[in-house]
Amino acid sequence: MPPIDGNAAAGTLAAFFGRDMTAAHGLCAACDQHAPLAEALLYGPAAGTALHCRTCGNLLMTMIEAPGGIIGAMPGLTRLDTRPAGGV
Amino acid sequence: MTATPPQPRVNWQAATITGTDAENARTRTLQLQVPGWPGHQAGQHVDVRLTAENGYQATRAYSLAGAPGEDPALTVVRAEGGEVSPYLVDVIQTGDQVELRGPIGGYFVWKPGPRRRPVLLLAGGSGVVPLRAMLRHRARLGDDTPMRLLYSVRSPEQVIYRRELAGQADRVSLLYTRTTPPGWPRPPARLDHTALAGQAWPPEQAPLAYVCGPTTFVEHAAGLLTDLGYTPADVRTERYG
Amino acid sequence: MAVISRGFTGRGQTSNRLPPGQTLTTGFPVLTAGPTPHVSTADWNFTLLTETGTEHTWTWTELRDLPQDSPHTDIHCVTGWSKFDTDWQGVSLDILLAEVETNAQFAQAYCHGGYTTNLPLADLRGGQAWIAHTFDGAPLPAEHGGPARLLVPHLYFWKSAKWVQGIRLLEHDQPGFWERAGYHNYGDPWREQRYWND
Repeated sequence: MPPIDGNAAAGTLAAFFGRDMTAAHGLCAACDQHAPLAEALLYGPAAGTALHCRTCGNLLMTMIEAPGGIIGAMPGLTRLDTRPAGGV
Repeated sequence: MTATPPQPRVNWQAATITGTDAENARTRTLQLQVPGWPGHQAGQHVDVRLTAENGYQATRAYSLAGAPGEDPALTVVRAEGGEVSPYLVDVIQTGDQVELRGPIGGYFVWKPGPRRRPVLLLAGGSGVVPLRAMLRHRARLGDDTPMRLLYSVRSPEQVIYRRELAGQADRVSLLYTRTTPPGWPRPPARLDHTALAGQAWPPEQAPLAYVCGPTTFVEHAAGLLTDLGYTPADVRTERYG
Repeated sequence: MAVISRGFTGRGQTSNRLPPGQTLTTGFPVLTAGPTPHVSTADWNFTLLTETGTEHTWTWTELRDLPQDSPHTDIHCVTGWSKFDTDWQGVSLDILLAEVETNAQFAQAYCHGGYTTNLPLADLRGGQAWIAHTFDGAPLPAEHGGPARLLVPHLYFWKSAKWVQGIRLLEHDQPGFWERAGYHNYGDPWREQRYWND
């Protein structure tokens, strides 16, 4: 299966952060590229949600949905910015 | 618009099927009733969770097919051998229940903005679903944002929303990749630079593009848009595998 | 109280051979959190790296020349499905570990594509673990971890690392990919050890 993208993780991200995070920009700890989480690579299905940097493949973030809550880790994100970007 | 978007609903809610519409032989639209539905934005989706009698659960994300202000509806294409989509297309009936989480998503969404930037919608296969929500949103508002849909589909039998799209021939173009209707002016072909350049708003107009479909289609189409001079940050993408 | 979706079965059924919280599947779902590496058997090898830095490596041909086992086993995925009566062929870790000297207590499997998983070394011994290259009589497909994967069926199946490249033998435990992310460090399906604090 080819990778899809972070849009498909919107529900898990929202359940974890309590707000939409697909439009949030993350800074990759490995390559310093920043991109919306919607653009991250998402492979699956998997035992949890793992988002990878589209530029360098580095693991940005994992989330495991467990009964009662979500276990998250952000080993590859040095920054997350939820300010809106761009106008229509 | 500077208003903070509504917070997503992150708890699972019971949803009841209130009606089903066959779109084609393998595609069905499910109308849903969700108590306290807060409304959604065009392009957003929901997570759908199914629970079997024995407790087994499966969750999938589906785009909302309707415009903001309409009741939630999902258009589902049967993936052969799949676990969830064959159930939603062939088995579930009016009165049955699923659980929903959402509406969710704040990246792949469109609403009219003050600058009325022209919008190009590029759909591959069932990637048309969230883009149809954007077209409907514009139409229901009577908004004058320039908007075009280019819909790449394998064959006439696989077209979704056929009648609705046929009624907007001035802003909707179909691109058949394998077989065409009889007498169709263009032989079946993959989306290419020429076909896209004939439909796309010129980069000087500061267009926004929304591209949704299988990963290979999205990568290909987004690459063509960048070649045409579109700003990568103005090309929003959603891939579904 | 969960909402039941009438008529949804998830291809499943129940049985008393199932660990708690599991349902039976007849399919073989493909789960992967990263790209699927395609490794040719000509380039494949498997390494045991001991805590003192000694390496022992087998090529594909050398592995296939060792005595082969045919484990017949049930497998259990942490996402909730189990599959009964799977048939594998491979080399027991007992045979491979007999070639190295070690006082390590822990092991971490590492894989093409970067995946890792950890387990006590004792769980790789005693006829409980294999480097498996054949499933249902056919070469293990890449999507299921071919050319070869670790097979440790008494633990949740994320421990049975696909595309295994080697195993580090360690004095101190080093959690792997999903263990760091929040799954259980050991992962016994019969004790339903799914999450890190279960």
